[in-house]
Amino acid sequence: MDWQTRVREALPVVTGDFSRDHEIQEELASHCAAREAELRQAGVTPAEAERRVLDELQSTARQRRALARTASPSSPGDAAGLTPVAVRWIRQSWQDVRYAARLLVRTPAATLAAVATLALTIGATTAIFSFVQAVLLRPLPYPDADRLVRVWEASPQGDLRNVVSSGNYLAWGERSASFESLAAYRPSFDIALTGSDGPPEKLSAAMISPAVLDVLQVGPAVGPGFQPGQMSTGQPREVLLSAAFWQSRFDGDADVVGRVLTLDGLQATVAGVLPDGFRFPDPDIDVWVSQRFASADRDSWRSHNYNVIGRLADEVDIEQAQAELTTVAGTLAVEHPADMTGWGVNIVPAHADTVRDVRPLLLVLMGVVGVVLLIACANLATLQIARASRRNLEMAVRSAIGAGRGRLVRQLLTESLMVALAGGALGAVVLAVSLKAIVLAAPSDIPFLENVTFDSTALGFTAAVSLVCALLVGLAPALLVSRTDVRALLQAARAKVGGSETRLRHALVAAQIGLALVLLVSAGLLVQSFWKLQAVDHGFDPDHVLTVSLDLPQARYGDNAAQVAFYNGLLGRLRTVPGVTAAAGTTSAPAAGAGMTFSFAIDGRPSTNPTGREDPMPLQGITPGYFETMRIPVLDGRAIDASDGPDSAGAVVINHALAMKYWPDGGAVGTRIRFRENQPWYEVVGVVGDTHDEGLDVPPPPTIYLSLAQRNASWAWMTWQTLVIRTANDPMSVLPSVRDTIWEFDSNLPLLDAATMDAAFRENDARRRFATTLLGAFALLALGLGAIGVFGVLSCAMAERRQEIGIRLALGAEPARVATAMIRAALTWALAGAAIGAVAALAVTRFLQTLLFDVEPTDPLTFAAMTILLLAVAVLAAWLPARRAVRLSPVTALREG
Amino acid sequence: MPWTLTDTDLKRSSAPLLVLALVAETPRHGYEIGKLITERSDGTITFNMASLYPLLYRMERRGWIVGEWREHPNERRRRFYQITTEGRSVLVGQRGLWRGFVDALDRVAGLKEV
Repeated sequence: MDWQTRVREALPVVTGDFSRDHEIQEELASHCAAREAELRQAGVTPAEAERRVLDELQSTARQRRALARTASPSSPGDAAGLTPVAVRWIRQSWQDVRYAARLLVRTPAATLAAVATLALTIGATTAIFSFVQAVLLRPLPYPDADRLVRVWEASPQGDLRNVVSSGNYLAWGERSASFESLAAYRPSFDIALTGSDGPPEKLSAAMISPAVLDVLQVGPAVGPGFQPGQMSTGQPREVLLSAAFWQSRFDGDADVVGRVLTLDGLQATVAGVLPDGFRFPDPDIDVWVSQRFASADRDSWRSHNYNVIGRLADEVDIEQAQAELTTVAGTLAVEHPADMTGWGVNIVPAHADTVRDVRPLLLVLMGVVGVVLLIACANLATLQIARASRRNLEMAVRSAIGAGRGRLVRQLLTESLMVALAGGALGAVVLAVSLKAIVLAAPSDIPFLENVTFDSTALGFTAAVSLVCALLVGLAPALLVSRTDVRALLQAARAKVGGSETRLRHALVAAQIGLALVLLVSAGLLVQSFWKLQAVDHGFDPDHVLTVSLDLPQARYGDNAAQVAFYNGLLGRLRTVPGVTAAAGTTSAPAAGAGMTFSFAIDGRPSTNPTGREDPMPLQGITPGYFETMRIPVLDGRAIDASDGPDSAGAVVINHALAMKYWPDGGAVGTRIRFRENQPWYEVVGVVGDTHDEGLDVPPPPTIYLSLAQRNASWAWMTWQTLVIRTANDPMSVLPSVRDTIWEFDSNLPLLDAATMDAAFRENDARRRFATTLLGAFALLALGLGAIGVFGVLSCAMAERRQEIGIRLALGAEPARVATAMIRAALTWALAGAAIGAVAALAVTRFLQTLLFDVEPTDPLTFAAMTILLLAVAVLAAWLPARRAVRLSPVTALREG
Repeated sequence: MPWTLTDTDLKRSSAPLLVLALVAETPRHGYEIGKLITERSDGTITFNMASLYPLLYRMERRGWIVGEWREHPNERRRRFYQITTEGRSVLVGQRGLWRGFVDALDRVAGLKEV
């Protein structure tokens, strides 16, 4: 018999791979031949033997598909260039994926809960990460940005970030070799564009020395840019336009170069347009005005007005530059002992300097979302373990029919990976939404907020976080289950759970409780700070106050008398506007910061400072009626009033903080101070209450007030006044009539920063509000997740112990006592978690220090309150399943158990 | 009617163990493997061609055994299967598993008393 031919006839094609089919046919033929020979040897007739073997061959041929499925091709995966191992791996993975998908679909509620939990936490984590990445990690958008540095003066009083005098700036540039270039600028301010049709337009402007563009290595997109040369007198001012302003105002007309604009009443020539996206020193600037220095600026040491940015020369590092400028500062102190003694230099990387203020907040947020993510993973791992332990039987059977340990672990990891990837995909949606929300909610003074976008980095991070979650969630149950043996199979048949699984589940719940406590305590501390801050007395009445700022152009209001006349006339008219109850002006309203500071001398009391003068203190020029309008109490003496005119004796009013600093035993009223030598003295005529000018969380600065009418002629900055207008009703409702009144006096005067006083204060604590809101939300999320964890574990334990509970109840145990025993068991673990969490919180809350106000990071009250809250929630989460368990009728419990 | 184990789940589950045990002794060809299983189990467990070869191919694909053509003078070319390192560790695991299972069955159902 030619079995080879018979086999080929019966099974012409097996796998479709010719050479592999040939091998199979040959192997089967050899089998047939051996079988036939054996039958014949046993005495079966040749015809009968052949018939039997043929029968067997026919039934094998009917199994062609089984053969084809199991027989590997002669060289598997050749076409794709894959090794047999890889092909096998891919096939198994596909099996795992299909199997996992079937399982997950079979328990839709649990799967959805897991996916939703992950989507929320992954989305939130990634949103915060994107935020931190854009603000803290992304370099400044200039070439070789790591060579950019900020240069500050270090003041004798220890302020390491003191703004710089023009004398210092010019001396640094001329006497040091550490910088490729060094530039000065002033932060953005509002400027009025007039001379065109319609009302005056308010623009956002910044003064920059031409070197700023060299330092940043940015050139104009249109036009030649600023004329070269540092020193200049009498040269007309030049301005560069932003691309956005150029488009909106001049329709992108290139002929704009050379045109003359009237800014704050002075003419300026357009020198070019800067590229789109240039945001220095602040975003949304419309015009950059050239800052030129005259030779008089060389000898100006006391007016500290400029921010300085530099680009380090090649091969020079910050330490070398710092050493060189420190030497320069030493030389200057010798040359100008009266002005420069004690002044130093502080050089810091430009990016670090920009984000210095927000760094602690963002790092705290990053830590917070990390903790929330860990809680979510622990939570899901708990649920996965519960789920996996119900699958002991399945695992044992699979391992019995040859699935290796690695194979089972892979299967479980595949399941958690699929959940995590689904969570990640949904998380990307959450991310897109929450990024928008965060940018909207974020305080506008956070730098680089415009960089926070939904991009590939964010998506990549989402994917990475999802993978880590899959590992964290899948690993514990996978390792547990892979230990399954036949004993476990029998246990599973009796619906019992191994001790190690129970312990691990409880440990995970304890971890969730602990982590949640850390967040709750942190949020509690912030909320308490926020409350305490709201309770702080402003020192004046911020309700129903409208503030409007005006800046009188020097060109039209050259002398002091003209300005005072303007303000007096305007305020007099404003007081008659319906709805206005009082109005006054100041150079620096509360919440706008401390304004200008001046050093001064006290009559008959020589200063101990080397300069012979007291430290600089904030000075405000006010109009009569200011304290009354603001409702700042006069504590001693009198207020500034109309009698303090240009011809009467100089008078100042000081606040309580200043009086305490220099006259702690009283007696301030009647003494005299002066701001410059050889100039008239001002008598202290009164003491008023303190106001929190720099924000409620900052102690009130010692402040000096004088009448605008008595200002020194050289104080040009006093042309700026913030009008404070107290109203009977909603302050914004009188804004139109206030505006019309102002324009009746001068139709070329734009209104700067019209706002209500309490809005200004809200903006001041926007950052704290932002941190408190976010942290509070995350803490609540953590609390919810922790409660779900306790509830889940206990529900599971109840389900496993139904039979036992049934027996106990049947034997007459009190339901309440059974429930209490179960709750107590769960609470032991919650307590352990809370204890660990409290210790962890003690260790980490000090990182919140900069965000706290009047609350210690270890505040025992907050710790106790949050622990009690958490444990109460845990008790509730444990009580629900316990109650359900003991309400069962024993019969049902026994039958179902 | 007596219980037979011709095509039950039990047979399917234990088949890899049987094959691995046989090829662990020495490389064997398919016909020999089938025959030895029948002989050593006194006919309790039998594999015909239709069930044997898919089993062998599956185990080969999993990397537990590997087939190799060998030629002897005056004989047909035959494919001999030998155990791989991975197959050996599977065999150890399976032996432990089944030993435990049988012991457990014994404790529960008193197999050895009969």
